Amino acid sequence: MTGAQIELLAAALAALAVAAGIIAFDSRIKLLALTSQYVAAALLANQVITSQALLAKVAVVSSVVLGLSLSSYHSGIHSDSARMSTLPVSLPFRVVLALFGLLAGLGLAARGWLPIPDLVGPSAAVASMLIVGGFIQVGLMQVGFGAGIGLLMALTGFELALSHVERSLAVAALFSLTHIGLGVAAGYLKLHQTWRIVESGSSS
Amino acid sequence: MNGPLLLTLAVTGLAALLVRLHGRTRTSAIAATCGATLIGLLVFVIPVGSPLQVVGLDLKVDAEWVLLGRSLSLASSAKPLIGFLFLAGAFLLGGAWMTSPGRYLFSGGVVILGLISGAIMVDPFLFAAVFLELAALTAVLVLSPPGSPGQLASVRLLAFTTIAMFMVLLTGWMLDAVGVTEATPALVNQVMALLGVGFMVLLVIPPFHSWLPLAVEEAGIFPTVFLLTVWNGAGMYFMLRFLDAYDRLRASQSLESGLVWGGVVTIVFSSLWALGQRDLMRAGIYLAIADSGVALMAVSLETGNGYQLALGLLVSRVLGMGLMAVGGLSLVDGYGVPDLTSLRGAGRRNRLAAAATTAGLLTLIGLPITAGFPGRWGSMAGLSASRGWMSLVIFGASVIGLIVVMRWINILFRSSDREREPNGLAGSALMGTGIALTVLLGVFPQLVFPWITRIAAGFPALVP
Repeated sequence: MTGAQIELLAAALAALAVAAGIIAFDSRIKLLALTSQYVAAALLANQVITSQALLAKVAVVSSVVLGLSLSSYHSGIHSDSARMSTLPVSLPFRVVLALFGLLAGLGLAARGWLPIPDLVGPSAAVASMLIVGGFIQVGLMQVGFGAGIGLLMALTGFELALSHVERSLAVAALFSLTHIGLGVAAGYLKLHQTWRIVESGSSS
Repeated sequence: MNGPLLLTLAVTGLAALLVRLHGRTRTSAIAATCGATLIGLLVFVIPVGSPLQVVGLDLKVDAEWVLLGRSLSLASSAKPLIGFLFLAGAFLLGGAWMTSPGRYLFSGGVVILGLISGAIMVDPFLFAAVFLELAALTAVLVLSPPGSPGQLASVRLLAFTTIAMFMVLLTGWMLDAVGVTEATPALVNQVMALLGVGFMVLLVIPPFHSWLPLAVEEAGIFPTVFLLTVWNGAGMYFMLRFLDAYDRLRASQSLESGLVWGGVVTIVFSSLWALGQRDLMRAGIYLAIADSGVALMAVSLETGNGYQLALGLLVSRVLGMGLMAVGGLSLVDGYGVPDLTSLRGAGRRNRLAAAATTAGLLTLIGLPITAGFPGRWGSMAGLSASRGWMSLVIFGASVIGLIVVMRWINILFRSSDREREPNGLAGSALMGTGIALTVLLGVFPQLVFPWITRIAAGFPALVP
């Protein structure tokens, strides 16, 4: 595959991940979306960071996805249902929101809202889509797991954009630590949700 | 051996001990208080960069720890604030034993203090934003311990802090690399907008305060007050470092108007919200946010005195919030919600707790003879020369605050059939010391001057 084809593939994957993250309430689909956006980011980051750094990042995000999958499995709750949110979050609303999110991301990328000279084309689009889409998920989900996945997406988008200007090892390590921390926090809040349900069940 | 490494080891050791002590609330509270006090005092006392003799051994503690090409520096300008945060943390964690604190308050609290210290020490200071994000991640454990009724406060704090991290890192990069000058007004405005949002989050300014009332409900008052204190301290220090490092920002007109209007909005809305609260703790939290607005106005003076006043207000705010929380919880015996119903007549049953609560609230609104007065009076006096209307806004906020306090005093001292409730020795000591301290600092504010001067010395461009 040529470089341009890989970039297009990454952009398509990221768009699908963002849309799925916004539309789905099922934590398994959300985890799949998270994995897809990590793959998309890795395909694009491969062009700007060293292969050793990329390998380290892959190891970090794999552990994040694995940890989240385990906490989701142990919690036994797969659907963060609409009643968890105080917003009108019916399916058509979420579909429209996903479309708006993607369009907003693409529109921002076309305007060059992040004044980073090297950040153009699919890389800019993916970074913008992930940041916008990630924060839409945070606003939509009022429980930690969904919001955590949204924040992880937004962080990936931001890191992708910043990797064009800041390539120091210390910053990469701090961002990796943040990914792990967010993963642990989201996993913990998923289990917290289960404890609450168990407690309210036993008290009633 | 270097200072930042020693601090990291001390914090890790204390946090590990507190995890081991899980389930023993009183022991954990004592260990957390003693440990944080010791660390705070050591940070103040140990000379960094010069030789030291301990039991006949020659030691030298270096200020810098280089890690992966970046450094953590326990410079003499950072030491007073780090020391203060640990001492404030010790005071607040010590008071938390009066309630049933969450499982991770003590261990998580100490880790948060360590991460905030990292944010203060890191060089380039822009990466402080990442340390603050890590602190917010730890705060999830403090705000949503197992058994807590919700997780919305921690989700909001996490989301807001992530936004702040993005804004600050992006702004720093733009200022360093894109070439933001007076000749590029569009970029200056973009930078100011991004930075404004970032600091609104870190200084807990409306509407980014919305996690606080939820935190009072979900985690209780002590975790909330603790987090508000460390966020305020780190946010203020971070903002001053930004202003100190980038003279282009200081020269910008939009900075001054941003600070002024940020302060006005914070003061007006928070004071009015405090007026409408049915829960004493939430009312106190809103008064504390209004006090942050006064600090913003002090910064808008853009003088050495203004920056020092803003730092000084941090001390009185911790004291006010701590007293209010300890007193309020004593009034409801540590467990109930201190609202209009449960507090009716509670002051007649427990006069010391009522006095502590009142002293805390009066400190937060900056009434004379309390620790909050010198900072508030200084800000009003400074502003009266250039922008008299802002002094009136601060005065108006104090009047509204006084109405809030009078309302709660009226509720506390209504007639009640219930019998007197004695305080424990430790509770009485904590409240008595707090009241004495707020009066002492109100009458002799010069006691904290050396500390503030030492912090301000770290901003050579702001306080020449």
